[in-house]
Amino acid sequence: MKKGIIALMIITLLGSVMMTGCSNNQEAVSNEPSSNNESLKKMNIGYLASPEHLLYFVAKEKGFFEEQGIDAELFQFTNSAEGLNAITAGKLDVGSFGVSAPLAFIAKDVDVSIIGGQNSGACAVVSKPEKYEEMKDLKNYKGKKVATVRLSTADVIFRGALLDQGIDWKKGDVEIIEMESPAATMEAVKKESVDAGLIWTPFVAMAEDQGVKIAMHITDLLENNVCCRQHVLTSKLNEDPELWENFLVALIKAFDFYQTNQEETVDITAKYVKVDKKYLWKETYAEDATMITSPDPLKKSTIKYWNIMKETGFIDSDKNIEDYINTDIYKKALDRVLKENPDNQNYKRLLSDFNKYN
Amino acid sequence: MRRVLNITNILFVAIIGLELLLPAKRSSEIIYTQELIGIIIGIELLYSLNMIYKKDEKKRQSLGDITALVYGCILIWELLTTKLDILHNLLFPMPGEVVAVFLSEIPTLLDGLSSSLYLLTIGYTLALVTAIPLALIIGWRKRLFLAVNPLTKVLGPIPPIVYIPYAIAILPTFKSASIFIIFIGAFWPIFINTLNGTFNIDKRIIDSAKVLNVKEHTMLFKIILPGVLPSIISGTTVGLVLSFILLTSAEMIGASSGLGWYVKYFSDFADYPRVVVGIIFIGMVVTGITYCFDKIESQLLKWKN
Amino acid sequence: MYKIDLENISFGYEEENLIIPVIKDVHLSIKEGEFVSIIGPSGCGKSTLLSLLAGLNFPSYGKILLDNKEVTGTGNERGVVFQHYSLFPWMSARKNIIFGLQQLDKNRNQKDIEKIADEYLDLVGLKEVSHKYPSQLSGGMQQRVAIARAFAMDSDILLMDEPFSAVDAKNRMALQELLLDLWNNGKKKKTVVFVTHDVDEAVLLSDRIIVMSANSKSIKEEINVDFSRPRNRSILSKNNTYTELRHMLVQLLFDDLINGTESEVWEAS
Repeated sequence: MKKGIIALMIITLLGSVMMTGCSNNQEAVSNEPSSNNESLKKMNIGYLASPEHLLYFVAKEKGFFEEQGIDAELFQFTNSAEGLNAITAGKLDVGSFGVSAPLAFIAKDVDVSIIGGQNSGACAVVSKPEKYEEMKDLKNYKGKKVATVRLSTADVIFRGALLDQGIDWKKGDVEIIEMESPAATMEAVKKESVDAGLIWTPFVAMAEDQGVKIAMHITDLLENNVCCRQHVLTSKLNEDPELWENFLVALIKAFDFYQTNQEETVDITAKYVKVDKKYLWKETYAEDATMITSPDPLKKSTIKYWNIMKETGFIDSDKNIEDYINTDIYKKALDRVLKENPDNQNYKRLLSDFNKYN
Repeated sequence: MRRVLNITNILFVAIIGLELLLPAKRSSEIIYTQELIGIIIGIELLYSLNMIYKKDEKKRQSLGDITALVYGCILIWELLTTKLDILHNLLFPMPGEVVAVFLSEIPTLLDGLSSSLYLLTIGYTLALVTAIPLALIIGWRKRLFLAVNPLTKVLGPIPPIVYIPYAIAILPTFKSASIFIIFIGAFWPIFINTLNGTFNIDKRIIDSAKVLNVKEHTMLFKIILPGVLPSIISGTTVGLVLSFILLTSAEMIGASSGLGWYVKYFSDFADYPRVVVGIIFIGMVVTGITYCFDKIESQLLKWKN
Repeated sequence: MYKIDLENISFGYEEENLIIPVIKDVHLSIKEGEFVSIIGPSGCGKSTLLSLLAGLNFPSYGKILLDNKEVTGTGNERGVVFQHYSLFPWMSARKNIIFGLQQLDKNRNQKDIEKIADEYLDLVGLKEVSHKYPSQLSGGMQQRVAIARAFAMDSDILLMDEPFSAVDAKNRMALQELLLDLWNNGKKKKTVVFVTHDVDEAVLLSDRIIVMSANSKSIKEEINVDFSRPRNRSILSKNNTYTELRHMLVQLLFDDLINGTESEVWEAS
């Protein structure tokens, strides 16, 4: 009996070691078999389960990556810091884990470059309807309690906006309560243990159904705000700039698709973000949606965000963030796409955006 | 007739009655009456079949008690949510809705089960085959024990979640990083319990073996290992529990399936019907696995009084 | 030539840089085939003496010789029966005996080993329960298995440390008879060293009784027991010599108890 159990354990161990050895990669969400074509370059892409990252989903599902010679595999992370760890360790090639995380890592001497964008907006401050009148004006925030998820984009921008108003939360003018997730923040707001809470998509769309009102959109706090940026290890960037140009071309094409194929985009996104499609649509395409999806690097806004992070004390660095933002590759990619499709309105818009925001 | 009129069956009728007769207070597009009645009838069928075929009076009684408890919980749950709408409607979905969602989620849950079992099996087995022999050897040599024991007190309590960035950086794949988290969670309780058991083994057993002139490896594996088995088993039990608890953390690393991933994912999205489904399903899986483990344990320890 | 020689044996254990003496200056010689009992009050060191003979401990001073060779540890020529845990709880009675035999000679045929085990289990009357675990056997049965194993392993010397003390009176008598039976009827008479605190038991079983003292931590008295064998319990109890001997032994033990204990302590060298 004992021998049997020991034998069973050893067989299981051997079997499992063999299995681990064989299965070298995590299965991607998509059931598409990875191509055996040798000319495709492998790329590990990290994402968060959010409609904010739809450019990745569309580029993968519609074959834009493959077109550009990239065999992309998508890996889901729940936590931006861990995603950045994976990038730092070389286990992921690229990710768009917010904007606080990459900037924080840059401040800690990790040589990461911002080469493009993913989205901006899509955050809001919510409060119960009774408090709406008060909480819709930042001036009234003195003495109030606000729930937030630390270092999230909304959190950083909010704290910066408070300081601009002369409300010093560092000295306790506002009591900031740090929560684990937007879901937890919502509960705190609903229970009225706080006066307002900072959330992001898809909770913004769900807000009304849950009995809270959107007091302020992130655009009310900071007009040209940024959210998730594309970040790559600079060393990897320099190794093969052409690969990254192709990568951005794929995202640019995905942008075009997203603009023109609303329903299919929502369907694709729903594969990766298992939330009711009506909310996804609301966040992505509704008229009052604040989420702007775009591959544009938004250099100027990123620099502003860096400064806000320094002001609010989240990072301490005298680096020049411009050294870490590379817009050349994006420009090359955009030019290439425009050359192939000179009459495409979406690409033309991207070009004018690029000139305006970088 | 007496046997049929027990508390379990009374509760059964009560729930059906409650469901059909009392109007629903909660405002919801669907009330899921069918699903609730369906599950109740299902449970009652299982219960009745067991009652007919099981002969042991004690087992029948406890089965009846457990079923009655289940009915009781469902009754209160339905009352507090659908009928009286006392509980917060987002966090506490209706039982009928949970049933409906459960049924539709079965493919995803089964897929998640196989994914989680893969991690658990490898991680846990690795922990077993490393912790037990190491602990036997170290516990047996006093000098080694005195050197290693304080270290276990420092390293043991470290929450495995802390190792995640290091696991990602050092190990080749995300999956192996996930397995590592399970491994380290299970390793320490097994190691520490085996270590202490070995060090504190009754000296008289050792003397008995010594006078039989056993060789060193016989001593370790035929005398100490079985002698320490009760300690090992308390370690493996704790290790198993911890493995499950750590599933959520382990499945945060680049995963898009798994039972732990499932509960966290939908919790992040405030999709609480799915969260409850996930919790119930995990409960079923854990029950099944610990049942098997208990069977193995009683077989291994059948020599104990 | 003696089978067992204890020359000038002393033993102490170290505690905070001092050595606490347990046995002091013990000289003892035992002939082959002799049945020797060691009795004494608790703290006299009799169990320790047995553990030294078994090779589980080493004397602080002095030598132990077996067949004129110095003892360096445990050995197959000595079988041991303890008061508790003689058997391994996770092995059945049968397996315990088989295990012991396997340790003697790994290359021996398994079938032969099993045959011997069954034979001895039968001899001690436990054939029916051979598959049971020690926890399923009474204390008396467990000791019977231990004795069966010791005899199955056929060692020249048998060391027994209060083997029947944890057993009730009736079973104890049965076990004493069993032991004498096996000892008398074996091919070669084993040399037995038997530790006990039961005076009657010592007289019934032994050729010689060694009385140890808790005060001197040494041998107080050696007494020959000359009753012819086989010894009958009820006949003996009516014998005057027996009664006198018994009385004397009890007195010796009692004296030892009421005289204060020297608490002498040695310096750790």
